[in-house]
Amino acid sequence: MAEPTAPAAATPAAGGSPAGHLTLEGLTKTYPGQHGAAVRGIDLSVERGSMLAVLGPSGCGKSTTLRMIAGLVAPTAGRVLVDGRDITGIPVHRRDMGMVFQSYALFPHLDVARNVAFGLEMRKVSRSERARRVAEALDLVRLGHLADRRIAQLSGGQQQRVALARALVVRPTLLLLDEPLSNLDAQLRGEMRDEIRRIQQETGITAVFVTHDQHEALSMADRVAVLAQGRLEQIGTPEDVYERPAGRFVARFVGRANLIEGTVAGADGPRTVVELPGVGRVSALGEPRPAGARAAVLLRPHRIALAPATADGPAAGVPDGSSAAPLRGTVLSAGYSGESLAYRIRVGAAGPVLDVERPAGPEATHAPGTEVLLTWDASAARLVDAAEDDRAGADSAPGAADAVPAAAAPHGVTP
Amino acid sequence: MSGTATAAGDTVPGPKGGPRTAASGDGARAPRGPRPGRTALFLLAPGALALLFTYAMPLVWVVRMALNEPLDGGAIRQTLTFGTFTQVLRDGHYWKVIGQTLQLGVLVTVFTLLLAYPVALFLARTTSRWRSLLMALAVAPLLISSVARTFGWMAILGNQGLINKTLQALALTDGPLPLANNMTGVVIASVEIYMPFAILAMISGFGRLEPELERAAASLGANRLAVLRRVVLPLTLPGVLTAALLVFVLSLSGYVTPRLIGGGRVFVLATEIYDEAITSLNWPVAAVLSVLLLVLFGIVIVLYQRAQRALERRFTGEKGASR
Amino acid sequence: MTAVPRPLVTAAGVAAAALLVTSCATSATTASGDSGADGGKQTITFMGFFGTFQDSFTKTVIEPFEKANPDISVKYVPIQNSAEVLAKLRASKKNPTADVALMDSSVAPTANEEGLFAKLDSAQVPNLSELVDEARSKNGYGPGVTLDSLSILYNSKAVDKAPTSWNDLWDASYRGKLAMPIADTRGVALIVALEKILGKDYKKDIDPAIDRLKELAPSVETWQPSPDVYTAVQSGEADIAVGWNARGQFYKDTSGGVVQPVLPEEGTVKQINTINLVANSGHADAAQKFIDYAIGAKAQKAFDDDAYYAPVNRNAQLKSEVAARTTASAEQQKRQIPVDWSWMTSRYTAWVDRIKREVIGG
Repeated sequence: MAEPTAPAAATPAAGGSPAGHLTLEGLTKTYPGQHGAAVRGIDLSVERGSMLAVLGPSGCGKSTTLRMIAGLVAPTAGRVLVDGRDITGIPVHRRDMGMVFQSYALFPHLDVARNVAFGLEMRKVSRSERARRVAEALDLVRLGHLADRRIAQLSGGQQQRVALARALVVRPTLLLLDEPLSNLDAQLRGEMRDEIRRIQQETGITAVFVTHDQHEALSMADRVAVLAQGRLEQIGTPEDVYERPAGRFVARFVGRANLIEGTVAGADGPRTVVELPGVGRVSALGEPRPAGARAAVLLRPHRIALAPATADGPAAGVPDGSSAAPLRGTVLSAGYSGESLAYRIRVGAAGPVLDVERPAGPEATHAPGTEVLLTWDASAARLVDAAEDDRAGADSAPGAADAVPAAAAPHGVTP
Repeated sequence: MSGTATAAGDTVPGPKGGPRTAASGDGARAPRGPRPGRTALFLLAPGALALLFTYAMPLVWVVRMALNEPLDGGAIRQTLTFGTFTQVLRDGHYWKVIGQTLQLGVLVTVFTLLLAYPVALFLARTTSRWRSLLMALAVAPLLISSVARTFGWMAILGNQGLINKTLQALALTDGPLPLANNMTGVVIASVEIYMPFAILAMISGFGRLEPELERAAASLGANRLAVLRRVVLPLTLPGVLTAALLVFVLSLSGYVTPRLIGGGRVFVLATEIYDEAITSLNWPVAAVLSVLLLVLFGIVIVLYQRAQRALERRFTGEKGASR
Repeated sequence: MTAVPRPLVTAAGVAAAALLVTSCATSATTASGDSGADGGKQTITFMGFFGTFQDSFTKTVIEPFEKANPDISVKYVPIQNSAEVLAKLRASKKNPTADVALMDSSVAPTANEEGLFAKLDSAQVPNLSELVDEARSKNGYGPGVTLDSLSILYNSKAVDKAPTSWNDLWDASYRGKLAMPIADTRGVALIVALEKILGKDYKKDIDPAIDRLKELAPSVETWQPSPDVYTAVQSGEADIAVGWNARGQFYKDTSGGVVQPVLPEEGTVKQINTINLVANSGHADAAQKFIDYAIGAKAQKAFDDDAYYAPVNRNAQLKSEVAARTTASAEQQKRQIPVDWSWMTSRYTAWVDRIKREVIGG
């Protein structure tokens, strides 16, 4: 019954806010001889002291965007502004940005301290000041004891920290990180994720990092910008992006999703009622659409609750998935992964197949073949675009288990 | 127990094989290649035998000849004496020859490196689709014999050559510039002849050069010159060193170019060995000079290895990698 | 990996050195003189100079010899210089790779001394009695077979006034245009000629000639023209040079008169190649028959008319136009500068060293 607590889903940002520390205006990159633009008119703004994650699948233009901010790639059109000042024409070595590369790009011929000192030397910082700040930066990343090591003698995580220290020691205007965790193993990745967030917050630096990993984006960033095909799909808080995806692509790319296609039947206050073949009518939150329009309903797998089906038929009422009007379904498969159980459940006799994720342990396991009742919180159903609007390439999104309605005649809970 | 098993077990993953932890103390041990097993020795045998006959035996013969005593008119007294060595080492002329050999080697090496480095750097860094073609062009001179190329340089540098004819036609010079028949001509021709070798050696030694490192340096505030000086140069130094060794050794032993374009004025060990053996028929002295040249090679190679090891330590941080 | 593996570098260095060293030590070819016992036909192996010398000698000496002696055939092994002959014979002393060999008269005494050559049987080589004095061997070894002489060469297109005297080399108008390949036998011969002109005795003191040559040094463009002095004069790379007359005359013909060899008015110094019987030859009789033929009047006339050498045989009468271009002419005969090449054998190296060190400045 809970109404959405946050304002309606954020729309793709229109123009950078003047308060932004970093602002991109219509940033575009076209490579010669390549069809279409790699980056198509990105507008966004990053607040001072905050951390923005640029999230998207590979080839979405996120790295190019970051490199345009750094000055390593010249934009075809658009502007990069820092504190309202246009820096688009300023060469990389005068941009004063700290960059952490995916490969770390540490200088193999210098020891750790000299790597960190490099930017200071370029800035003609005095020797004593240099020593002090290098030590400080190494302490910040907890590598003070390895100052005279060679890069080849460091582990991946240590190299990552050196790269971070080297970028931060010059006190750059912005910290840019290109897939900073992708070269680390799973355990180290979690550790570094917290570490980077801690350092960013301690230093209060404005940071932009690029990632293809939604967990990284959601857990580290203050705001997340989702890119697809060189376009900015959505920018907002992690919660915005996850709970209130602006579009079908974001819904599928950020987190796992059941998307059930249907037709808008009408409005129910702030909610929209959608007719879903094989399921029935479901009410969902989201930007209202006219009756008869094609639309899809998003249901996150972990928001669906399961209960053993009783012999009784479903109770009467609006089939919105609320406990008052549960859907009936059959378990097709149940996968155990320690922390949770992943079910595939067919709705009705020939309805769509939904992914459902339940925590393992407290609930009884539903064996394949058994009948279950599906319910969800009213806020869990979100209205998004129908499949026609789907953009090519979104299919590569991980965790997007599209629910396809069965071709058989729709019956069941249809009024 | 078997040699092959040991060889397989000894294999060390490459630098990109995975993160190496510093704490494990691995850093103190130098990564070594697989030890040759019995199979390897067996496979090496034919080559080793061929080397024995083509290199080792003539070498022994030369050392033996150096211990003989030269007599008047090209006759040789079979004996065992260091007299010829002392005679040569006491003769200022031969020291002058050694000096000129080294001078030529240094000049040729320096100019070759200066000219080859930008070319090698460009070829190593370019992403142009013409890269293969450009590479082929850079080493194409190797297809032509150095004799032919030296004659080509004589046609360019000689008193009746292209440059002097042009300069005189333009009334820029009175007489011909002395570009050939002297050290200048030998250096110019040698530099061109050894450049392809230098370019190849450099490119093969530029493996540590990654574009991302240059970008990282730039993002840290380094302008192009600083990137070149502080990052590109140190990373390419191993390749430069290898090229330097190659060119230096080649020019120390070079005979054709000093002989053809030196005008009889450039006395280096190779031409002197020939003259002693053929014109003066003084085989023991020729043999002594050959041994001295070999000693010179030995010194150069030891110096190279020292330098290369020191460089390597800069990258690995390993100390005292010697066994 | 960036560095070339260390053993590879070492190996490459050693290889480069060894290659250089081995290039000086000539490899011995397999023993020839294969028994010609079957059918009475024998093959003798002759080591002679390469190039146009070989062409001419084969045409004018070997082919007529083989026609006159159908039971003997001659195999020509071309060699670069006398040092190569010496090297090959030293390496095959017991079972020599040749039966007859040419050798410069300043080198031959060494080979004789080492027992590489055998004395001739004058009964088998009757033509020895017809030899001119300078071709005779004092001690019964191989006689001279070719007489060449040192000439001044000039480029007739570049030089207006032809040089006629050795002193013309010092003419200021040739400054910087001289090619003087004298760090070898040519220099030794030139010293002998200069000593004569300066009224000195080369057997006593060559300082005067060396000093005279030092004065010439600043005018010299090259001490070692490439590929050789004759081509350098023909191409105009050098205007004036010293070179061997026979080869100069050959180039005069092939260059259409651009290269002009001059036998200077003071006379010139002869260079003699000897023809030798190799010791331990399995075909000593046939070999001596060949030597006898080569120094005979008929062969000498045929060869010298073709190759512009002066005859070693008193009875050989060259064509008059050829004689005028060699030291065979009557006036040149009068102006001969005598030289004792076998005396020179033990001084040769020292003289060449003085030229290199004091004149060229090595």
